[in-house]
Amino acid sequence: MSKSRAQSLSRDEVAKVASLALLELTDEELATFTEQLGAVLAHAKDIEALDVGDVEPTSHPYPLVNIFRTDVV
Amino acid sequence: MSNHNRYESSRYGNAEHSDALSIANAVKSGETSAVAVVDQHLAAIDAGEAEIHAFNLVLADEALAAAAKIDQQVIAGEDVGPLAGVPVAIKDNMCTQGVPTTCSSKMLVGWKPPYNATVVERLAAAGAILIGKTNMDEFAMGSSTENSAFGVTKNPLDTSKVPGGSSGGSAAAVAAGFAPLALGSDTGGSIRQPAALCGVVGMKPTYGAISRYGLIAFASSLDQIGPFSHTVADSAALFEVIGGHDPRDSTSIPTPVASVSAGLKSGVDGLRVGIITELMGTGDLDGFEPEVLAQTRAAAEALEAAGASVAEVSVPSVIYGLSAYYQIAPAEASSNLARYDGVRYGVRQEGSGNTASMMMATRTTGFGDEVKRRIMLGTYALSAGYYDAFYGKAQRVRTLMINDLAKAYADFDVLLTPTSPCVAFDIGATSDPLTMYLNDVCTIPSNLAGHPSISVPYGTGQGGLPVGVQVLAPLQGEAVMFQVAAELERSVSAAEAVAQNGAQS
Amino acid sequence: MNATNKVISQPITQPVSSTTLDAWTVDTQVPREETDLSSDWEMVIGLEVHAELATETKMFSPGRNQFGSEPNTNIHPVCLGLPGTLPVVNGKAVELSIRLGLALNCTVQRCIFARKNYFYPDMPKDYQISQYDRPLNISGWLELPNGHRIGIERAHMEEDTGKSTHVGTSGRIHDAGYSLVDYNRAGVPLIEIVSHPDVRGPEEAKAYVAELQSILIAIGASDGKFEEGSMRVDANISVRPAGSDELRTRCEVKNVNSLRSLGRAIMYEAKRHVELYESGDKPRQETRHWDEEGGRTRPGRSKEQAEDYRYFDDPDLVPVDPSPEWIEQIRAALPALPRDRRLALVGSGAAAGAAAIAVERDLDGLALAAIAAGADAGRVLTHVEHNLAVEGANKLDANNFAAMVKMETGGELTATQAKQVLAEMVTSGKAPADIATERGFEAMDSGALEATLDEIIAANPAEWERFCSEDPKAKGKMQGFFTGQVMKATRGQADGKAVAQLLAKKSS
Repeated sequence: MSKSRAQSLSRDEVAKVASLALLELTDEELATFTEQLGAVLAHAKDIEALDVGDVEPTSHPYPLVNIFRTDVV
Repeated sequence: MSNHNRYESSRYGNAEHSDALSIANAVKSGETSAVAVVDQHLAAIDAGEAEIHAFNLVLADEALAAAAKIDQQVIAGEDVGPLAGVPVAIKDNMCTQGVPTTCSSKMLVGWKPPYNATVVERLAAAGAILIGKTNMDEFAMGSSTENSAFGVTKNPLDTSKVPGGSSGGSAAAVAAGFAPLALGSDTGGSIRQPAALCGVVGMKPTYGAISRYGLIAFASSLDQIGPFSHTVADSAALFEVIGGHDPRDSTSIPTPVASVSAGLKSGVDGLRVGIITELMGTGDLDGFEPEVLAQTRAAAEALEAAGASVAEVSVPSVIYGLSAYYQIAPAEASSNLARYDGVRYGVRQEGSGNTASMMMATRTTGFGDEVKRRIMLGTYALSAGYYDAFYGKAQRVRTLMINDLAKAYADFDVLLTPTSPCVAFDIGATSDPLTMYLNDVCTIPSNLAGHPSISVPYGTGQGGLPVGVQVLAPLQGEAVMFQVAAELERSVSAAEAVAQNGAQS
Repeated sequence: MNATNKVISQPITQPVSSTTLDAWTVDTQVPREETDLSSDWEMVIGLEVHAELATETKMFSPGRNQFGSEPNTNIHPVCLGLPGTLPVVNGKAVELSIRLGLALNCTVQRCIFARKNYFYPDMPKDYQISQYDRPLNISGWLELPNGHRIGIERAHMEEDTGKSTHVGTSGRIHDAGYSLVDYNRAGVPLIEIVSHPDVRGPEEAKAYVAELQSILIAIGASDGKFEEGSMRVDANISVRPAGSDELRTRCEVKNVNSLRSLGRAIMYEAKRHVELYESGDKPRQETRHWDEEGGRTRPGRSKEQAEDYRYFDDPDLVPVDPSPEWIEQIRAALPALPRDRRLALVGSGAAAGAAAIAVERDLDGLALAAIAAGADAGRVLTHVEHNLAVEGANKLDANNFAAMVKMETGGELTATQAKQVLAEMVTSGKAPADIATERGFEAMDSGALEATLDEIIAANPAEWERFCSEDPKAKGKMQGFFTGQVMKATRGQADGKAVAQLLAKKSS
């Protein structure tokens, strides 16, 4: 399923992402953004090699549970 | 000319008291009035703001009115709070009821929040006076304040340089003497890096220590509000005023704020200080200026001289912080910024006649390029087929980093790094986004881990511009972090005193 | 979040007879719809029911949760998603959701709120806070009145959207014109109950939704009002050759606003699938909308953007991790559920169908008490089913009810008299014996009844001859004739059963 980061980002992918984000890009912008975002993703290749299979993901840095509000207007 | 003189000369106006606690004491004792204090700072703003552009909005009349009220309370013998009469500048991403709040984006021009951020309420309750809303990188995305829709903020120490970002306006306001205190927000270094570049103290607390209610979100699991000031004691005092549990923020830690001022004079005798090897320009990460590294080592030596034990410590995963951050922060941002669609508030750009095209036209014209880049990056990281490889993996790298830091904290009370790999750089010099992102390499680990850290000015680097040294502590370790920061401040003052004597002799 | 591609956890082993269920659904008064495919095919249906929770405030905001207010009056900065606002979970909504989970025999677990990202003008944040891969309630079941169990995949919490009104030439959002948005409903707490694809036909689907509705109401989790949108149903429908266990392409049908529409929509869609397969074509997976007036489903709006909801854990919210103590406390406080109430009646001698009706009318308590007071269960349930679908029936005194039934079974009242006495008991609250006395109801003694019958036989010799013939048809017809004549002569005072016995005796 996952795309190898060795491939750089394609224009079509950027166009699709822009459409998902409700952003309209000119052809020129599409070219610039494709290159810039591709460079950022290429830099992020360093974590590709990391073996994190047995590491749990962190979505909150401070672990809290059951934070509730009373049902009062 | 010594560093200290250069630093002083950056200020506009000539306020009698430059630090917040002295001002509050003078106001409370009747030695001066809050109105006089506000007048002095408004005069400084008049003198320098046209050049610096620290503010999106100066609240002169409102500040004077609030000051007059404080003065009446002082006369009436009422308790006016720990920051009585102290002007505070706040970043323009914190909501102020009835007062425009823009995030330095065209998108929010004209929007006046119908409510106050929790920090704004707590500042008012402490007697502080809101003097203005400061410029920033649009939606807090940037490291130079060049991404503001309303123009760049200049570094008061050298107006050809950036003030850092994204809280560049707040850092510049304090450095320029427009306000003794300011609030910024820090998602990947947006308080600490501009503090370092502007030669002031800037601190990001433990995630959840200060309420985010009313802070316009960039990346919700990373964002924290924090103080800017000239002195470590002022930042500690401001942290104590705005920190503590808030039921309106589910991620707010449900305990009272830590008491951090009490230990500022305790010294560092017996404390264990670790220098993170990977963030000293020795490993895979380059781009560190030698002067910055030298000042960081000097800071470590000063702590050692004051009785701390100092050693290098390896935290291997910190080098992956940047990659993880630039998946997680844009992913959260892409969702947080979806609501800017022209339907309910802010600007609206009519499209080709239907709602969907209006929403697209609004977002296309309302956001600047950096915001668009991050929204697209984050949308990509979360999208079907890529989630596991990008966002999911970054969340696991985040865990790895937390584990590595925990190992380091088994042997050390605090960790030390440079705040920024470089001193303030030229306005307009960095056009490549990735190069700009590399500025955050030392500050990002604390955001990913949710740990507190503080940048303290420590000498100068290239061009005589200030260097910031960063003190990191584990979750809720603000007390020991401030304790070490205070020692660094004492040592730099002593060094400057020696340098000044040398220059005079 | 569709159910139909998941493993069926509670397989239906017997074919469901639609007629056995029909009488127990809520809308028994509507004309009979077509309910079955040809015997070569069977339907595979999974249902997604959204129910609004009965809280004072919204899921994550102190804004008021109330139906029918002026537009944009039940709003608050948080449910409007204003910049800088943050959600905080309504603890009451969690409690009601756990109640439902327990009522549906689910496992209640540590859960996470996730953001479902898509742009829509009536959704203030342009994402919906929902639950994705770790919902609150999983792996339960719901038992229908006929005893069949439908597997529950999950029941998770989420927030509702606002409502748009499109003012344009075609009434569609992509049309010119303008839109009005009401955010009163935005952020109202919802629970979404997703069934396994265990439902096999429109009648069973209706019975499932009706049962779910009565559970929601019984436990106080929702008012269950279809007409106010408190309950909304989406159906995932596919068909397969009868007896097969494959899962074929499904279509999700939305915009179904009543039980009757649900049945019609399912039938229409299933037949559409069968026709496609039989003509060598096949359906494609899509979302379709039920067009009530046209009596058909139509494809949803063509998607300008691909559906990619980019779910991720909401960083503004922390996990909900109900403690075993809390769960047990909620379980202990649950009222008797419709299923338990039906079983209690059946245990007291009621037939299953009659028990279901009694529970549906909330008269099972009365029936149980009357049976406990010694009344015949069959007669009690017959009165509940046929004579007590009236206002005030639930205020009937159980002992009086039992006394009336005993008078009837003891021969002191005929069935007709019993019905009249019962009606007056409901309106006046008087004791049955008093009503019978006032009305002069006295059971006729058998001698007087026989004398009356003899007179009628003498006056109608031809009819009597036909009654005595061997032709069962003629015999049945004449039995009706003589019973009618006796009733007429006694002004309804005669006991039909006694008349039948006398006729049988005299003709043998």
